Amino acid sequence: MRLDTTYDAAPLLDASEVTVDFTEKRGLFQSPGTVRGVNKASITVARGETLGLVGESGSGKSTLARAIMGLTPITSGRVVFDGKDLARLSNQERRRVRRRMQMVFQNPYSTLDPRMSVGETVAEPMIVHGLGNPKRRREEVAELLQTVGLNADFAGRYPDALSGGQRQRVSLARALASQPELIVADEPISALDVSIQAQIVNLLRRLQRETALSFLFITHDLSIVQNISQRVAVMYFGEVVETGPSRDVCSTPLHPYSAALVSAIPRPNPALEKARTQIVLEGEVPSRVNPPSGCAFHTRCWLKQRMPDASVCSRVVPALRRMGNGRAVACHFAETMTQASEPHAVRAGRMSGSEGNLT
Amino acid sequence: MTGVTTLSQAEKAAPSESSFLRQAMSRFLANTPAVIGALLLLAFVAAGLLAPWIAPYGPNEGGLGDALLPPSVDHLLGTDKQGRDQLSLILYGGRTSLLLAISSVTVALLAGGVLGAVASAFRGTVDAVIMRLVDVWLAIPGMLLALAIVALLGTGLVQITIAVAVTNVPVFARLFRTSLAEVSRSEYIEATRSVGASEMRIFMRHTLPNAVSPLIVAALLAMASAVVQVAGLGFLGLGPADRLVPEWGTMLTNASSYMRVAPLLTVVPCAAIVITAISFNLVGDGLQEAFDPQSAR
Repeated sequence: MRLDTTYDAAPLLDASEVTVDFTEKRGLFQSPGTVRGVNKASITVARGETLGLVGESGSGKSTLARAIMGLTPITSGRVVFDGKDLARLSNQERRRVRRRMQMVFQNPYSTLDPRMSVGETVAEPMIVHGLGNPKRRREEVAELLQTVGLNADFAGRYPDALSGGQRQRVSLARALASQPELIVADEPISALDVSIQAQIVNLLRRLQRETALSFLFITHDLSIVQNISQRVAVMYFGEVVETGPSRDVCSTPLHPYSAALVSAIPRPNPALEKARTQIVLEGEVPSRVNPPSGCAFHTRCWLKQRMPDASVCSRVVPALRRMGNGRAVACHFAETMTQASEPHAVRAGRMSGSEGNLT
Repeated sequence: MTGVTTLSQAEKAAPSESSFLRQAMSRFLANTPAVIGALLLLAFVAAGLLAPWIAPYGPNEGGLGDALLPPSVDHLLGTDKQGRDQLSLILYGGRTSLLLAISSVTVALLAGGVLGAVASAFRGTVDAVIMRLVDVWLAIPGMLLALAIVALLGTGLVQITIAVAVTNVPVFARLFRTSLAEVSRSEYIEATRSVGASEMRIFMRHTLPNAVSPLIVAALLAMASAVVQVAGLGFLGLGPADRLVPEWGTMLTNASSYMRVAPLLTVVPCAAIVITAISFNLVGDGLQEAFDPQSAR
């Protein structure tokens, strides 16, 4: 069952009810415990679409991405790429599908093999998937480097001679090398300087414009999502709590957690910035070992505190339900959110000025 | 370059085209102590190899009439109690000492490397058993273990090699396991996996090349201690069983009773052992810095 797509055609990537458990060794004589990293998260990415996956650190967004890429085994659920259930493919078929989905990692300083030149690194996906011959690959590497804004003679360099931004460009060139259809970008800019971040975002936007690539763009920064993605999925504590078109989610969030995230975005317009009231969440992300009953967010929810009878929050896990306009939300009181004409009229239990932060 | 270099120009600056190994080589050559160590080692190895041609006498030439002669034009470093030319003995003895040190460390490196690789490949019980074994192994003093093995097996060249190798195996096993584990956890291995590379390719092209350099450095450092260990065995009378095979440690034992009369007989083999050991150390440190420039800073 897909709740969050506005598209009729089958999506390129359809991850449904993905759950990832981590086993945790407790000691020699104790049985290993399990910790849930991702809890029945469902996302879809249509062809040519960019989905922004947002959440604070530890919300499970990276784990979901890694599960989609097959880097972390999934406990239950399905990852379907272009109609193929990845779990049902043979190893060889899976590697063939890998060609079509590539990943860009967060830390540019650790994702390039220090022993390999840029040229070798970028050529590797082509070698692995048997594309081209050595001469053709050399030309291809030069083209790819130019695509990501580097000179072709970078091919002979080694990672330790490159800056963070240059390394991230190389990572992107490597991801593009096997001519994928989907690129999963796990916080590709958060480790970079702010000035370089803008360059990389512009590069990604250019790629969106000039190619038919789909992106799964993971970030903790909702303001970038507005810029770069058509749709957004908000994750909290391993669950997708809200999905919908980026513009709608950012202007009228339906989940109290999304509203808190949106309220943390600084406004470029000084008048709006002054009027902005930030919802500061109390407490901390709950413990993974002892997850809260009912809605995972109820321990920190400001909306629950304002509800006359909110006992349902701690009893019943809210399902992700359709709200129209391609939106879906997992909150018992989402209707209360729609009644508010604009999100910042929703007054949180505790407010502060522009200082204070979510994470 | 004149004028202002813009950011984008700086980012696109012409890259230096040299392989990782060539860069490591140039870093090594810029390290004076390491180069001195390498040259000294080369000199010792060359001297050992060329001993039959450059040594003024055979290793067992000389009679008791020439015993304990002071340095002279005929015998640059004097003669020992049996009238053998000290210089020739040092040159021939270096063959034995270096051969034993290098071969024992090579054996230990291979055996330890395999153990470490097996431990890191099979996580869990196999790993735990191997590593606890290695812990126990490391807890036994190396010299004691070597002595026991030589006492058990005898004092042929092969037996001494095995004895010294056995004391070094756990060091390499532990080091290689750690190094493999560290590299295989790294993000670039994960990135390569996400590209779709086979596990075989990942291991051969990425994990192994990145994991062996600490092993090579450790091997050089182990050779330094192996030289001392071999000499130690020789000094304790457990040198090569064939008394006609000269060896630095054995030379020391033979000279020890004549320390007052002919101190040079003690000083020269001692110096040879110390210089070789220090040279191995210098080269090892130099390689360490060459492979991993960050560690030096």
